[in-house]
Amino acid sequence: VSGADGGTLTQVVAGLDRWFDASRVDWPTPGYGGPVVHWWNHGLAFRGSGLDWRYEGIVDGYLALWRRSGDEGWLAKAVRAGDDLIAGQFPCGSFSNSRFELNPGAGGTPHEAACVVALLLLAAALRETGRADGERYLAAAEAAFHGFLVGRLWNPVTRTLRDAPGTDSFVPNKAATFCEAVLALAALTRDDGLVARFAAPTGDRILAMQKRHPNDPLDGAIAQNRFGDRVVESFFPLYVARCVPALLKLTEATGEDRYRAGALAAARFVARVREADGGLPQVLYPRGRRNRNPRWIAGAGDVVRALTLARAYDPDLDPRPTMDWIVRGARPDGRIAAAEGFGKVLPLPWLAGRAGAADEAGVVGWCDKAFRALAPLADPSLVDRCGKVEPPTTFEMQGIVR
Amino acid sequence: MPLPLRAALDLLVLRSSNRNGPPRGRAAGDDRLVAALRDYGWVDDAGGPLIALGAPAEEIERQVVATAPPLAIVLADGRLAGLARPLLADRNGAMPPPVRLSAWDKLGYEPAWVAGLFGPGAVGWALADRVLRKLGRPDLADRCRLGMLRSLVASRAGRALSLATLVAYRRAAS
Repeated sequence: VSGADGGTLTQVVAGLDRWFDASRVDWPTPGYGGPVVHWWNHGLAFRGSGLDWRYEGIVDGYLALWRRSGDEGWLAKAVRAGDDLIAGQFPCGSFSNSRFELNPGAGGTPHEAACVVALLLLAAALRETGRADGERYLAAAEAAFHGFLVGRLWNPVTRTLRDAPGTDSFVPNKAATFCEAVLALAALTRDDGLVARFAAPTGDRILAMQKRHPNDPLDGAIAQNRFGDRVVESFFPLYVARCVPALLKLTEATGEDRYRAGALAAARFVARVREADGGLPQVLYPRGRRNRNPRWIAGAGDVVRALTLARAYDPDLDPRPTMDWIVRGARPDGRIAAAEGFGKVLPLPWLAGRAGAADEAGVVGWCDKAFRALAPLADPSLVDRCGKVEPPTTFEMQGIVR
Repeated sequence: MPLPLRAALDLLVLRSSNRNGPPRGRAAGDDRLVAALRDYGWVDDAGGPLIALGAPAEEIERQVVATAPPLAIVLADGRLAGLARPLLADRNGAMPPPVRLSAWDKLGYEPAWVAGLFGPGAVGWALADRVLRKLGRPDLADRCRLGMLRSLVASRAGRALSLATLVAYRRAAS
């Protein structure tokens, strides 16, 4: 059975919904908890709620199910997620424990921007229904936007979003999330000035870091980051994919074709380096070098999202192999495995020990990517949102990985 | 926060977690480290273990005498911390020297477990990362950095040469 089969996708989405519910915790504020495994660092000690990019996929996914079904229960779950963000928001606008794999701590990037996106998606949906309570989510988003994103990260001189306050660094995929927040805020507040002031310069900065050499295998790829003038030439397909939606939306907002051209080049790069099984290598470098492992499974939802959006302009960009890859990662408790290949990342494989155990981790901030990509394809009438919730499978890893 | 200290807090929390709720105890020492520990959900419990995070030896001794905790866990600089700090561009100040083993013995405590953070293995990976990056092999350099991040807890053999140590002492049976 193809993973892209509607019934299978519905089962996967239903499993994720059940697993998200089981992953909720009450401390320090209500939200979704659990461990985090990531490329550089794992966060295994902090088990409280994380208010980070997990909310973009959770809110967007539940809103998709609500829109397709009209079932208010799905909207209620999106609202609950929005309430989590408000409950954990500091007076300065930041969110508590927004550093994902680096939790505990606040001020995480692109996580604070992703929380703003989540709040704005919810505010827009509630405005559609005529509910007045949507305005509180808009107010929370504006507080985070002006207080942290613009107040602490935006450099008005260079018109650049910094990766951290006080540093001269720029990370395109994180800036792309900021760009999505700007565009959503501009649409909700009907303030086009935000696009010209923040989104367009950010899009130009992203494009400036894109390889555009037709004969280069990296054509279309976007470099991972820049410190001052020094560009770090690492190209992560997942993060390149995360730039695509923002660039496509920028063309819609500005009428400038160069953003869409950049988005399509980026999407073609992602599709070109995708492997036969639908998974993607972790990172590529110049001169044909690469580190293949770990290959994200749940997180590949962002690749599906990018290719789905880009396919409207290029029918050859097919998200289905990656959908199949994600579906094969679904586990009986509802989670989707984080990755494949954590046990192969060290230069000396015999030193890996039990590092491969991280592959099977259920991470809310990865599973939300799969949920966001697959929810619009599921049949919500077949998803039992009141299904019995079992505790998530316990994840144990020895040692510390930071 | 420097990597060895962040790893030490992670390890402390993981070792202190139990099935009945969040880790708990009485934390003392460097204000920044104590605040960071609380961010993990640490619960203050006067009857629990004493957690000394960069606390001066005399402060630790005073608290142990006053409260007789069942367990005292001490984070302190490792033997080579002073030497390695400049090499790793660590601008943080040194932690005070730890309580000597003989002093713990006099207090009626014996070592329960010890962990080294950022031992020779992690230092080796970090150096290989730098060399390979300079040689134009970011792919291998990244894998060495991953090696460093995945070997933050020193092996038994590397404990003595770690940048930071976490030592637990338990009250000896009288």
